[in-house]
Amino acid sequence: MKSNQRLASIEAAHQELVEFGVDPFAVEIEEIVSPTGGIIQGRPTILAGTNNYLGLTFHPDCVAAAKKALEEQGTGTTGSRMANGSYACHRELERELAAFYEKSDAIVFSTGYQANLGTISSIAGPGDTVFIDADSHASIYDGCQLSGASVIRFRHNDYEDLAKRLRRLGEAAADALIVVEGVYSMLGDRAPLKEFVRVKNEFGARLIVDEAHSLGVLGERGRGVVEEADVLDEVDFIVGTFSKSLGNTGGFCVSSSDNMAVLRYASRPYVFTASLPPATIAATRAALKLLDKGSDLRKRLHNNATRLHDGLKSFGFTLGAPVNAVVAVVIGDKSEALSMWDYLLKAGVYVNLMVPPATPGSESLLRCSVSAAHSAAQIDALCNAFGEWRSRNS
Amino acid sequence: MNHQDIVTEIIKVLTPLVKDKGVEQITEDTELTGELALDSMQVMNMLLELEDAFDISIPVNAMADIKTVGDLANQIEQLMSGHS
Repeated sequence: MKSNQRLASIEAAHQELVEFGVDPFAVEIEEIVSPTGGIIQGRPTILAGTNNYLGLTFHPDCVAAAKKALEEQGTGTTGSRMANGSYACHRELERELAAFYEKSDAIVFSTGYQANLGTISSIAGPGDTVFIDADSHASIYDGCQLSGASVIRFRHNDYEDLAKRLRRLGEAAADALIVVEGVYSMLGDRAPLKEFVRVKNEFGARLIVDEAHSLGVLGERGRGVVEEADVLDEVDFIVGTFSKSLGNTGGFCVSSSDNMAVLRYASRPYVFTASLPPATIAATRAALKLLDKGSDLRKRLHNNATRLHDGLKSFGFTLGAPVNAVVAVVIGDKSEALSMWDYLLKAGVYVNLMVPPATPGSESLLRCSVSAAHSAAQIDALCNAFGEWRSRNS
Repeated sequence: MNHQDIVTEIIKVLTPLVKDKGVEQITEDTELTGELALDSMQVMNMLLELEDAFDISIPVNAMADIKTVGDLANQIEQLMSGHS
C-alpha cells in the first residue's frame, strides 16, 4: 500500500484543499427542504448542484408510490435478482422503459454507474475493440476496463476522428462498439448524434448512447438527445440513470438487440449486486410517467436554464456550452474557483466545483445544474451571487 | 521509420509540454509520469498528437505498461508493424 501512487496523489490533492481552508467535496446538507432548497452550514441555501432536473424528488405521486410499496413489499429485496429472484415490479419497470423508448427489452441496474459497467462489459470482451469519447464519464472507462476489450479514445465529439480510427482497424471495425454520451456532464455540451450514427452505419459498428444527463431534459417526450436528433431507431443501446431527472437511484439499458436476455446474465454488475428496493422502483415508475407527459416540466426547465445562462453571460462569464440544464461557468484557475465556490456557498448558493483532471482541458469549472423546480427568484439570486463575486474581484 | 526516429518524434511532442518544469534533457529512459510529472490529461493529449503523427491508435490498455519514453517508442513500433 505504501507504493499506491493513486492514493498518494489523492491525499496530496486533499491536503491542498485543507490548506486552502475549504473542502467542496465534503459538503453536508444538514436539512433538505425541497428539490431546490436546503440548510448548509446553518444557512438556507439554493441548491443548484443536484442534477434534480425535473424537481421530482418531492412530487406527491412519487412519494405516495414509494410509501405504498414500502408498506406492502418491505424495505429491501436482500439479494440479487439472478440468485434471489426478481420482484414483479422490477420486470414491470423494465417493460415500461422498453415501451417508452420503443425498444424490445430493458435491464434495470442498481445504479447508473453499474448500468454502464454492466452494459459495456457484457457486450464487449477480450479481443473486441471499444471506441470511446476522450471526455467519457468514469463509468464508461471502468466498464471498458471490466470488459477486457481493447479501448481506443477519439477526440471529444469529433466523429471524423472516430471514423479515422475505425478505418485504421480495417475489417474488424464492423465488430467494434462505440460509446458516446448524449450530454456531457461537465460542460453540458451535446454529442452530434446524427453524425455519430452516420459513421457507425458506414462501418457497421454498434453504438451505445448514455443519456444520463439528457433523459427527461431533451426531446419532445424527454427521451434525450436520441429523440432530439431523431436517431432513436438507429442507436443500438441506450443507457441511463434514475438518479437525475427521475429523482431516485438506479440505472438501465434499453435495446432491441436479440441478445438482451444473455447480456443480463453475462453482466457481473447485474448478477452480483442486490436489486433495487420496491419503494425505489415504485417511485421511479411514478416519475417515469410524469417525465413522459412532462412537456410543461421541460418547458420550465428550459426557461430556467435560459434565464441562468443569459444572466451569467450578462455579467461577462464564459460558459461551457449553449443553453442546457447544465450551465458550467469556466473559471480557469483552480484557486480562484475554490475562493469563488466558498464565497457562493456563504452567500447561500450551492453549485458544484469541478477541477482537473475531472474537467476537460485544464480548466476549473463552477457547474450549475438547473431544475424545473427552481423559481425565477432563485435563478436571479444565483446570477446575482455570481455577479457580486465578479464586482468584488474585478 | 526506425526506433530512434520514433523516440525523436516523441521528444518533439513532449518538449513543449514540459517547458516550465525545469527538465534539462528528455531521453529514452525518461519517465513520463515520474520525472516529467505529466498528469493524465497531458498524457492523453500527447497520445492524440502521436497517434496523428504515426497514423496509429494506441489502446488505453497499453498505457499501463508504459513508464518511459523508450517503452512508448516500443509500443508505437509494434503498432506500426501491425503487432499490438
